[in-house]
Amino acid sequence: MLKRVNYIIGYLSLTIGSYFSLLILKPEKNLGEIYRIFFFHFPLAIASYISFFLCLVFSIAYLKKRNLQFDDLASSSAEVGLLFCILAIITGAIFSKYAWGEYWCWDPKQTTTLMVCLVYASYLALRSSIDEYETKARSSSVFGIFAFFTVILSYVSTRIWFSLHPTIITRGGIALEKEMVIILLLMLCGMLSLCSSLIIINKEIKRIERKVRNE
Amino acid sequence: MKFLSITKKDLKLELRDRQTFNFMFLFSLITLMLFSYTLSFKELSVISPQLLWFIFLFSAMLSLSKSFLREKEWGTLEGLKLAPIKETSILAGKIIFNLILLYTIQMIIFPLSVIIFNIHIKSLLTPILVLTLGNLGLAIIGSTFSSFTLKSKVKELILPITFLPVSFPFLTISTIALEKSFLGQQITKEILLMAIYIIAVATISLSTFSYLMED
Repeated sequence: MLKRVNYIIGYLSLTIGSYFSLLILKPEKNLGEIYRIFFFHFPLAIASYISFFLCLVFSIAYLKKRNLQFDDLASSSAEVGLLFCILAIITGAIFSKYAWGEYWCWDPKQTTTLMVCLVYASYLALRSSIDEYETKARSSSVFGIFAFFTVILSYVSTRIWFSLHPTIITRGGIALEKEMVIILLLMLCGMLSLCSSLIIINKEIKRIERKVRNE
Repeated sequence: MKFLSITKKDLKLELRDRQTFNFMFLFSLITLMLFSYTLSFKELSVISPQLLWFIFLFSAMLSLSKSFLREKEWGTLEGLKLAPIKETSILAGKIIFNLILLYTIQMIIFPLSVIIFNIHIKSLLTPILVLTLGNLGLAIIGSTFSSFTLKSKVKELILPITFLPVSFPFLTISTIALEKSFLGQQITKEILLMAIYIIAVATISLSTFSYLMED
């Protein structure tokens, strides 16, 4: 039941959000039409970071409880997070081309997000190189903890080094217009429910796969 | 202080055949020569800190990848696990052993590189401090991740794949620190960041290592 509600929320908010962000909102003063990609870029990035955080939580949960279901959840959130992170990098590169003139400007945030992508790719590589389920779960859970640590550093590094990346959330509040914020939140909500549904479906596939292999 | 006995054991073995040390030393020397042949003096003076870190990093990988795998190949891993010491002491012993190896290599390679790369050093104290912290960070992550080689199908190939992305933020900071220390600039911020990274990594490593040594 809860799963269905999640699907419906995701479907509706993504459809309405995309319609409004692509067709209804007026072009922005400085950036023109290209700012519309931000309504996809930002929710994708947030969703990917949240799934990486979930990967950390489920990794710790696995190490504490020794239940393989947690490991399935951890690896599926890493996979979904990686997918979202790649999409966020691509949309970010398109935005960057029109806003700053280059697809890739080695800005610290871009570089570190790419590194986070590589860290989670190596998480999946580590998993694929170990056959036994328990060993795989233990090793990758420990690596998952290290991997999230890299995510935190990627965030910290943008605060410390000079960055071209716009800081949307400033101390005085959000530097966007009211209707933009509403659409952005709608897209965020949709992206998060899409992300969670993908993680749950992926986890179920892994559970069934394990069951088939064991029998 | 039981971890020191592990270090002592590894050092004794190393002194007996000196295989790892010889390979690391030759590798660093060859790469040093390769870089100085292929790059001009002008280029070398700009990128020497980065090249130095690359040389140290890749030579460290030679010893790190064998840290635990050697125990398995020689059939001493079971004995190590059965010994009345904690898993964290094994890790600490291995970290100190790798640290000693790295230091010995650097004691020879660093003065050589100053001559070959034509590096102008304002003060000697800060580069040594940066190298010390850098070695510590690399040895901690590397030794922890080298236990993946015991479980993985691809053996030592898994080390660079997991080790390089996670150490990326640390390498960035240490390269900047080394560059600034050559120029005699202030590096308090970098040193602080490196120290925080080392403390965090050491905490994660020591608290999760027992999971990696389980069968």
